[in-house]
Amino acid sequence: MKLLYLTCLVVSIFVVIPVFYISIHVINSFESFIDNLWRIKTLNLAFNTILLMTSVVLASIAIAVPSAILTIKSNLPLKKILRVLLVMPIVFPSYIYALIFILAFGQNGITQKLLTRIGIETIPSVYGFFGTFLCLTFLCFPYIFISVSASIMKMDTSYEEVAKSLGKSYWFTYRLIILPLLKPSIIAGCVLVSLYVVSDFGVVSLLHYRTFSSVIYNHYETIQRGTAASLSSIIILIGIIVLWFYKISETSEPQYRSNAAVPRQGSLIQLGKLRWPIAIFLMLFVGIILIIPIWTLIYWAYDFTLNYSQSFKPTYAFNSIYISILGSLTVVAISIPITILIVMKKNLWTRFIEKASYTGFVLPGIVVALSVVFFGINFLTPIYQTMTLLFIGYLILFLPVSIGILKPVLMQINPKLGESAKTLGASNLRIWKTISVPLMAPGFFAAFAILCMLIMKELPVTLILAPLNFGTLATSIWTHSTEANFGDAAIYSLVLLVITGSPIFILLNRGVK
Amino acid sequence: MNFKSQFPVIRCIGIGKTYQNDKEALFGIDLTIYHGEIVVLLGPSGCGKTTLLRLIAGLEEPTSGTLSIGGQIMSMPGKFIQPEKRKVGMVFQDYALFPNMNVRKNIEFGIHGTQDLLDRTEEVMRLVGLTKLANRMPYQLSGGEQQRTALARALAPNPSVILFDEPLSNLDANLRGRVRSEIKQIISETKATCIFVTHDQEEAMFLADRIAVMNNGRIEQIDIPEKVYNQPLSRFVAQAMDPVCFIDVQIEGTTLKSELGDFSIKQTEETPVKFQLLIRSNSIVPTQEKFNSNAIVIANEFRGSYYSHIVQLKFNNTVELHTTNKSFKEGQSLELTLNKNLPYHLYSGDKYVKTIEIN
Repeated sequence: MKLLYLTCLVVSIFVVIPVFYISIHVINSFESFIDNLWRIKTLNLAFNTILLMTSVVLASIAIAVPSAILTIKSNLPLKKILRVLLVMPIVFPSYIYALIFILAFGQNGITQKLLTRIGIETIPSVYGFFGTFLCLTFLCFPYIFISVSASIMKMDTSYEEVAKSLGKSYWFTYRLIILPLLKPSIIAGCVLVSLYVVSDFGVVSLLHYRTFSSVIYNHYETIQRGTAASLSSIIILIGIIVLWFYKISETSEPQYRSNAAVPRQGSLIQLGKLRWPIAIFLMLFVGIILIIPIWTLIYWAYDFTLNYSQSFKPTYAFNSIYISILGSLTVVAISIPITILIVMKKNLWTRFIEKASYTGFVLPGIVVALSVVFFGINFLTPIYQTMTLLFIGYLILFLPVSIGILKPVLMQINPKLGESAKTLGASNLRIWKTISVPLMAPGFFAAFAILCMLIMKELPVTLILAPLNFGTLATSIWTHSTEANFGDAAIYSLVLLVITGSPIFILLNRGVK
Repeated sequence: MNFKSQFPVIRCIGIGKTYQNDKEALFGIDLTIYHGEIVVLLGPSGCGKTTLLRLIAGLEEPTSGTLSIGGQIMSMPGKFIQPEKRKVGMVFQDYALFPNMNVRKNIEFGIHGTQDLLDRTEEVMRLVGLTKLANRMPYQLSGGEQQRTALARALAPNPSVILFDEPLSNLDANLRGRVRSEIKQIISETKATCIFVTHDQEEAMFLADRIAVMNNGRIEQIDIPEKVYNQPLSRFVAQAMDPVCFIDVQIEGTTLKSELGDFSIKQTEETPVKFQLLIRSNSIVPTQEKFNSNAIVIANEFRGSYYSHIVQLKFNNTVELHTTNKSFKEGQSLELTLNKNLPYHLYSGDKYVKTIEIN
């Protein structure tokens, strides 16, 4: 038992390295931190980041909420297909989607070529705020869509029925009753989206929008590590402020649910003559966010295969698969004792361990990567630039995900099972082996599978911490994109999408049915 | 059967349990349980009966007192033996069968050693009637079958005592009666020593060799069911066994004065004393005369084989009167008197004082 505590404490300390190191750095050079803080450039970055975050959140809500309501609770045709297709963008890693944006809507992109034939010479640049805003909105609104859909489907239909029996119109019902009830799920989705936008690296760097993430990376490259650290601390601050802001607006009133054993489907909103126009509009939207990107990718990949197939390197794919499997196994294995400890005992220590493990969840990947680098350079030189440091990075990032999957599985196990086994003479070890571990097995597989996919798609940590000349699909896509080798980038993107996308595609299809 | 001639299996001396928030669950529990007997801990939620059970099992540690099982001290200040080292079997309210093992493997779990294993498992399965279901998984079993598996699993290692935590609460009401009898039969075949916890007095009276009525962390009375029912030592115990009420009475000489009339009794008091008299459903009888009504029927309930009339006496005391036809209407006034064929218990404050008989 004591051994368990010790191991977990050691891991927690490792995991808190980023915050620890950056705070030390900031405290050491407090003056220059304050200086940096008030420089015009920094304020500019802060403004850009917050502007991006706010606009993406608002736009995502504007797209997700009505489309969720329409595709679930109205008599819209093609509802089921739309529901699946609208969620599809989450399959794309952000940097691939940004690449596609460039290929499809950029200066030499497909759209440009098509429009030139009609005579339109210039289209708005895909770089900068507008492109980044659109790209991130399309990537993020599915999260709010999913969150709100789940809420709508579980919602008690009695409210609508009461309103109708009192003679109120649909509009009234939705505005004053349904929407407020959806508030928690909208907020939950918004928190996810805000954190995603603040910590995003792929899109902002490829589409040249100056936020903290992209600038931090540049500073790292040009060896201005001090500034990088200061800026990182500012991102962390923004993240904390975002979370705090959302916590306040969370309603603390309990959400009543009826206890009816069989929930009834409410009646559908009748759209009348607008049925088909709305459906077609949504299909067009799907076309823009999904069909055009995929088509673009295939077009460029085809172009590449025709002309440059010799330079295709399968090593990238092998490397990706290699680190995802190994990394996933490591992180899941380490998360097991921690999850067991935090579920079994509730005291000050275990709460600290649990909170510490979640630091990686709120930190942007780029910040994690940098702090591990600093730590590596200054304290662990032998392993600098080795796989170990990379795995430490993955551990910090994905430990919370693994714990998040394993914890509910473990908590569902009836505690009386352990007590029962004890009265039958079983030692703690035997209880583990014959009861706890077998019952947690599905959780292990789920965590392993999900982590494999997440690691394969991960960019900033792999970019910075992997040994030199160890390229993965993710890093090569990004590097080729920045160097404008779009053909190469496209083919590797397709490979990555096929590997990581197919499981999600299958799961989503099943889930929607 | 007088179990006190057997050797004691469980001895609790001064057992107490206080929780961190200063909540005291048990105080000063002295309890001895003899080999082969079934003791039922009866009481309302929060009285400490489940806590006591868990202390005996070793799933929690007492804050004071000594506990010994089978002659060996399991718990005392400075010493605590873990549950896996005590030979105590337990059947939980929700059975807690291991979901990843079939019936046979569940039952085998507590047995150590190899040859014994097969024989003993077969024997126990035959005893509870599960031989045909040996390879089923828990989710494929009905409530009663799960119950029997849990019992078999607890029996298999031959423990010193088997503890049951409200084993029948999860079953449908009509199943309870049958399962109750099955359990009693199995236990008597194996002559196992058992402790049951329940809040159902009917269950307690059916199963127990002795009933321990608990209230607020103490044992108010422990005795054979007939004595606990017929001679409850406190008002609480009386109410735990039956729906009863208490009326104020005064005894002067050989006369008992009450709201139901004055009666001549066999005992005598030198000076007038006030008591509370225990009234059960069979204590009151409606009289033929209707001069002074002293009760009103406030509700009628059909109970299948009889009608229960809820009758209200003075001071909001209510008592049930049972009849086979619906003899009274709601709102009807009655004149009641005491049934002369029964003895009556007198209480002062909370405690039992003495018993009187009416001439």
